[in-house]
Amino acid sequence: MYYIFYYIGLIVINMTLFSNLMAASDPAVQIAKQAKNNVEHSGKHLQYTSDKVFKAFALKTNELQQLLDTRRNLEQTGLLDTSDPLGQARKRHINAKIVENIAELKTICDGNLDQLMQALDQFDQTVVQSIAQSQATRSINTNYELNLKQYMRKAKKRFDAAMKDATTYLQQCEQDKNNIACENYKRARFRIERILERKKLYETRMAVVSNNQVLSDSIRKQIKDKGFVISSRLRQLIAKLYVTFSKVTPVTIGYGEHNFSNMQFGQLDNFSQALEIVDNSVTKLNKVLDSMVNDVVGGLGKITEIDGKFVHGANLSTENELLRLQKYRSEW
Amino acid sequence: MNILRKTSVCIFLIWITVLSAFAEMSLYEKYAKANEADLKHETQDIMTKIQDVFNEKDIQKKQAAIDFAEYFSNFKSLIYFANKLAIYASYETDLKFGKDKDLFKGLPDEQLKTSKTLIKDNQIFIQAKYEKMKNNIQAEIKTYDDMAKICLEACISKSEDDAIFKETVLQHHLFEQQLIDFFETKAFQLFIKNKQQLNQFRPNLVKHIGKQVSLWKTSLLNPDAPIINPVIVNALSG
Repeated sequence: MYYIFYYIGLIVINMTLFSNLMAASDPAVQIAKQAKNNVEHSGKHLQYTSDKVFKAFALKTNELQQLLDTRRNLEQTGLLDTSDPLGQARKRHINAKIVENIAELKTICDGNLDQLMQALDQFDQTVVQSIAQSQATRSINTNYELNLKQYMRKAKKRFDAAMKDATTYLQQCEQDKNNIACENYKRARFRIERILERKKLYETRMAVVSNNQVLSDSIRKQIKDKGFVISSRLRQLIAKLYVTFSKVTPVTIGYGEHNFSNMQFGQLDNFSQALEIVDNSVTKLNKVLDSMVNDVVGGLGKITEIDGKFVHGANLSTENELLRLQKYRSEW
Repeated sequence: MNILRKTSVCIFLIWITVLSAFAEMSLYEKYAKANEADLKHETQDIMTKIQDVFNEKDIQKKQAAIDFAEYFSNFKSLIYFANKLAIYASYETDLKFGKDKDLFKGLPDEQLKTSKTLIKDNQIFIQAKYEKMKNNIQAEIKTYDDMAKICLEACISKSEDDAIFKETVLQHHLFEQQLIDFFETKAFQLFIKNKQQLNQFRPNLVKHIGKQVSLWKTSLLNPDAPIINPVIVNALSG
């Protein structure tokens, strides 16, 4: 009868423990997830905003290339010969068309510049806040580790005590054939078994904590190292684009036909190359953004959540803890 | 059925090739067949349109906007990290206080008050927690130091080394309103509040931030400038 109640009690305790394990979650993982979500959300908004410019950019680069090819074909067949008035008119016209194409690109950039700068600023601030936010994961993980180790130390003491009891009762049971001693021994053995089961659970949790530590370290590092440079690189790219646009200005100032007919093919080629460089850079930048988001999401998938309520006294963050200490010190 | 499908695909591909060739040819042919008067007229129209788009001042204004966005974003981040560092300014004293006064949260244990072994255990735990917290804090400080340095260098490279930025943004007081608005935010007010505390911990950082702020101070103290909180003006002057 005694054992029935004992077992029922244990089942209830274990069910409560495991329901807590399932329901609650590791604060370090929650924080890392939140930081990752914020960066990802802001990154998507940035991608959406920049896509408008970059898609138009890709299309215009193709159109520009088509014009350049046509121009080359016309030149090869002698149709752009400037000694012929018609040839000169053709050359001026196709040059003007090429610059018109670039002008359309600039108009798209102009129209989206404010929005793009705002999205970049928002992304920057999100990354900055996420860096600070994810700092707390380090402190939470080490607190877990410490508390779990302390649990293990206590469990070991209980184990030693139960072992001592069991040995004594077993000797009494064997020597005296005492039924009470034998019953006591059975209960002591049962205690040992329970302690060993709990030990296994703690060890699993220790492994999870260790895993979380590595992964939240990785997320923190990724946000810091990758997220922080993206906006700067994108702004530099846009700045380079405007430098490229400014190269067209001297051609259009005092736009006499003379300017267009004197534009050399080499100049246009250079311009086309500059645009291609920008286009390539944009592609690379998008890859960096994608890779960062994928890395963070991939890393998070491996994290296993553990019971936040299981370990008592885990501080939310070193920063909060310091503020708490400062408050206590001021009140002392 | 399979042969029919393959034939359809082949016809489609040939059709696409013919269309592409025709499209390329049409542009070439358009030029080949165009008359001089039409070409001249169209060229004139295009050039008139283009002149407005590639307006030099407009491009400079856009470049200045990009430069300022880079500067401002870094400046805001700099203040953010400076505020974080200010929290850590007295971390050694705070930690020692927490350790001495037994304020670190350990595991709840009713027997703690009576059992000598448990008291000793708890002392070991507190010492370990103190060491861990110290290491964590040092790692966090290192992160904030690094980030603040990156932001500060970006601000300095714009405001001190970039002649175009100085000429277009600083001298012409462009985008000043954004700075004025930022000086009114909680983040900057917090920096002013923490300035003295941070100065004891990271004097160089405070000095450099002050230098950046003073770049905008001249225009903020200008009688024609919009009225802003006098507390901020005083703090900036200090």
